[in-house]
Amino acid sequence: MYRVIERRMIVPNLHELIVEAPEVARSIQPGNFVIVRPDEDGERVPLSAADWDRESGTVTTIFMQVGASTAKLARLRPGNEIPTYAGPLGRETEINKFGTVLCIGGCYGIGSIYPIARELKHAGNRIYTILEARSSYLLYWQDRFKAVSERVIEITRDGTTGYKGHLTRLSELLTLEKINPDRIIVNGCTFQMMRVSEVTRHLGVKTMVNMNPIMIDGTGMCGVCRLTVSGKTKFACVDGPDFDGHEIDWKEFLNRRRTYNPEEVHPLRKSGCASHF
Amino acid sequence: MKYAVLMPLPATLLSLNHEAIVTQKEIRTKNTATLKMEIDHREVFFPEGKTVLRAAELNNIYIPSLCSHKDLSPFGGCRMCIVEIEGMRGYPLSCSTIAQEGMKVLTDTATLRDMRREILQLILSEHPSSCLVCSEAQECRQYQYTIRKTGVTTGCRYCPNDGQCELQTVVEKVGLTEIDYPVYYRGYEAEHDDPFFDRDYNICILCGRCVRMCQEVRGTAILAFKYRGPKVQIGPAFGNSHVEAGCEFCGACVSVCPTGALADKSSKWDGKPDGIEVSTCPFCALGCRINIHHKGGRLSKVYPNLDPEINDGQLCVRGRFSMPETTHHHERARKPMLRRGKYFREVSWEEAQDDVAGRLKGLKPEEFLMLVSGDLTNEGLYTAQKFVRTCMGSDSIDSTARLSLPGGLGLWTKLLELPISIKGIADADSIIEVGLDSRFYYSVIGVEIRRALHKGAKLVTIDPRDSNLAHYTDFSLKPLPGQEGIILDAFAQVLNKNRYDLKETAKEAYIEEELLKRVIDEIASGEQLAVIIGPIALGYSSKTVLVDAIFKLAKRKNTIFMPLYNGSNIRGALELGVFGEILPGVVASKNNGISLADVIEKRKKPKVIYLVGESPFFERPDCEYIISQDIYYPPFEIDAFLPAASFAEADGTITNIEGRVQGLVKVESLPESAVTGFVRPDWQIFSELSQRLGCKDMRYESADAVLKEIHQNALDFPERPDRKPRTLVHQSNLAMGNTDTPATGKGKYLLIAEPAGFRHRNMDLSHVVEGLSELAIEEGFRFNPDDLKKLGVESGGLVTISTTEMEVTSSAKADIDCPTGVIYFYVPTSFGGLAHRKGLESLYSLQENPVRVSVRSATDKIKKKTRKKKDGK
Repeated sequence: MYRVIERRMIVPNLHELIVEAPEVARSIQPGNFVIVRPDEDGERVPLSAADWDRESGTVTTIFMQVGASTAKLARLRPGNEIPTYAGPLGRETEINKFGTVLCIGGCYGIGSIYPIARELKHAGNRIYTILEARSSYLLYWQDRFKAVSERVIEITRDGTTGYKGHLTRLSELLTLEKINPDRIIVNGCTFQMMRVSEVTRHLGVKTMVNMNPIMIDGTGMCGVCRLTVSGKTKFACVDGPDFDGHEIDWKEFLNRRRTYNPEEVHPLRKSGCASHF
Repeated sequence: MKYAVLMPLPATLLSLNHEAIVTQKEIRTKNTATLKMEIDHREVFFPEGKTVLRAAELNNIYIPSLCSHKDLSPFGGCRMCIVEIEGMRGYPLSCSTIAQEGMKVLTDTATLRDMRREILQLILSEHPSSCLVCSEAQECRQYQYTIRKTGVTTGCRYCPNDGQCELQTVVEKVGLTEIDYPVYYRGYEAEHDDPFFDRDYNICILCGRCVRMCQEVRGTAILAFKYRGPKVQIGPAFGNSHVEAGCEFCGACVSVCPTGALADKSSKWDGKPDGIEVSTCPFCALGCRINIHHKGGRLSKVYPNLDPEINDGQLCVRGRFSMPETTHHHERARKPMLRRGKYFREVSWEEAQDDVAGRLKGLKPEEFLMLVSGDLTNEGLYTAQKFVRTCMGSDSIDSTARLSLPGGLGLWTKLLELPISIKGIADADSIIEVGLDSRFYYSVIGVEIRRALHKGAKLVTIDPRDSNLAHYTDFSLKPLPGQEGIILDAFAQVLNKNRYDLKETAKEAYIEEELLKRVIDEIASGEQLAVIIGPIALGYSSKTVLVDAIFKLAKRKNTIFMPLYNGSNIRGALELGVFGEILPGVVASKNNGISLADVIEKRKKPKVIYLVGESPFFERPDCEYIISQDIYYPPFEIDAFLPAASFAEADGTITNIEGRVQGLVKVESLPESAVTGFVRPDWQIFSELSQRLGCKDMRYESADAVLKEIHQNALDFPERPDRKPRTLVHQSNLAMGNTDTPATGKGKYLLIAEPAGFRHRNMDLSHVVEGLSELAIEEGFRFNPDDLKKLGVESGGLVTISTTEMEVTSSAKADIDCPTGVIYFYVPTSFGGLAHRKGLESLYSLQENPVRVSVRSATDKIKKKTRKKKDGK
């Protein structure tokens, strides 16, 4: 069993989960993920690592409450124990000296892009960060990013902080902020990653995205997380989760993600107290 | 076949809570609209006493508003409905300005538009609304399908009310595309710790509709504004939960919420429904009208209908919240099954019917018994009795509806001849209520009582305990349990101007004579009297005085009655003769069959028992073959299972307590499959079985055809669904059952059995509806805390209760409402799945209620035992 050190809602719907898992903490790298089960009957939920402390043996993840199992996770209290915390899984994000790297984070991806930005900075890159949310109160960890980036740019749909709009404005933003990236890395929701990939295709900058398909075992056995990259079937768990955003068949990916929509809603149809939250 | 007219979907789908929906009452008064005014240079007519907003609505002129509601008092909270009125200073609120003859009103000037936009921006700066102004809203809808199921709403796409939201409509109508103010997110924790509905006050716009609904219409006043200034929030006082505060969970607040701040738990993620159908609630005798929302061919949620005849936009917890889980619970039985050796296997309908028909062929009358639930449709009940009488050639049919009609069918044929009216309660000048708690049961009756009180009626409650109505009562008479009849009889005698000595009554019922006199004066001064008798008072085995009093009061002019029974279509069961002794049309029959009592008391042993929506046994009764035709499996081993259609899966009719024959509408429309199952309506199953048994005249094509045949065979039964109330017409001269078994025995305590639980067909709804299980009254005994102290038992401890014939041990709970010397014992209305209560069986089958019992602590014995064990070690 793995002990929960901290679980708190940092912004509406997004929770920070710190778990004591020394084996995982020892070898986890930016871009890796872990698989978590809230209880012994629970689903396996893949979560990207957002931070870790190798000395105290803890791993931090950011997750969004979006269904029955994440609702169970969102009810955890410090001191609770969870049965599964498997990792590190997946390949780590490629860390090299690229020159100028633009890190884009949105939603739970703001958490998982942070260690990537940090490692790239160590590797001697110039880091620019764009944090995207629908409104100012949904942004978090700006101070952490300020410590590792040349500049942190915020963009919100309602314009309550930073630029107004969505990442479809990316090329305009780059001109305004005079950033000329050699590589772009995006972590966030599927819609956001797809949008950014569309824009950067025209810019001709290699764009890495951190894919988030439905996943079961996370070790390449079940094949549920497959996606098409450059016409070839890949498994996000063992071949990814990082892929080149320009090579992904986004339409198929989005369709696959909604395969179990009715089943996902089913366990929530209950009228009892806190039964699904 | 569609009984109810398909209700067209309003543009915004705000079926209940939108002002634009005009009640039938108001349409009627519209014809009497005599006053004239000018709105936007148009001459309009309106009835006296309406607000400017309402007058505009009656003339199809739109004025945006978020806080006004047709049932509620003007509030003036949202300020959106400002107008310009000639000769009036400033910008008056149309929702709280009474329209006057000759007024000249402008609703849509440039200034008003600017001001409204400004006000709306201020509202939205505290309401997570980034989706409203997002340029990619459309694509997001297409791609981001799953984000809806989040715990907290942070935008329209995350909101259970998306697409059905009044705020969205107003934003669209006002044409707002930008919000200039900084956003303020309140950061409250979403509240999920009460059953049935979730609350996220981060998106609440403080329109106060829920608060006013709870106070003005429901009269419960559970909700209120808490705190002051920017911290103002809605909820029960003192930080209590809704359960603790005494919430009825009627969902009226949820129905009127213009945003997604309040949302049904079990259906909040379904989103905007595909359509709405008007149907009838299948859960109790009132037969409230409901709007069933359906999505993707499945029942999604239930809202009350604005039907002015019965419930007028109100429901109880069962009708409002219990249907989705009852229909879609994972234990729901949807496939025909047969026992083959040691396996209980899925089979085809043909195979199941062949097997069942083979077993039924050639059985003698005493070898077969069919038990039919009083919750079936009229069509199901009629075909059931016809099946037994023509195909099986006997009267071996019985129903637990009998338990809902204590005192016997004869008594109830007479009680149902009384003038019964639900709507009449609201018009009464005085109301006598005997033993009813309307928190979860007959909640709509409670609302009607409060409506009457609002108009100035006086309420007299005759109840040994404080019910939820005790807060409003003018005269609370608390006799000893079982003595309610004496008081009612005294009222009847005096009101009928008989010579009567109140002193005797006062002494017998432990009530001051002076008080009795005052109550009688009050009742006598009013014209209309409503008498409401809850199931507990009629459940007493000694009720001759009560029954006599009722019939005496019935001689008085302008008196209406409400003798409440448990179960939904019990009146239909009585009229359609699902009992051995009566035929359809309440005609006495020769009765050559066996009854439920014969089996329970082991006088007869049928070879085959056919359970239709019933399981009145703790465990499998002793017989060769058991068939169950139901929506859930019974809790014991059976040999054949025929899956019946539930209230949402087939058309049909049910008869309410007033005799209205109302339609149930089929909303579940997914094709039969291994997942959706192979359910069939009860009448169809009987019809098909009868063909296999060689009965010729039971071939029906539709529920309509069955109803037509009922019309031909049962007196006064309409040919098609007819919402006209009918007093029971019958030719039978059924004898009244034994209504006088007074409590005998010598025990110190008086034990009263009270029906509890939420029965539907063979089960207690709280087995499948999680929220109800949290509200359901726990089994066991209720004692006055002082009594428990005397016995030396703590609340929750064990007591042994005994009479000369039996002895049971169970846990006892303290209940402050319980009078001293009285024990309340909650008897489940459904026995299905209650094998763990088998120890109490001897109590259930007692013929007396109340009964005198002796009580002693059982904790000592157990303590001693454990001590002995320890010593032994």
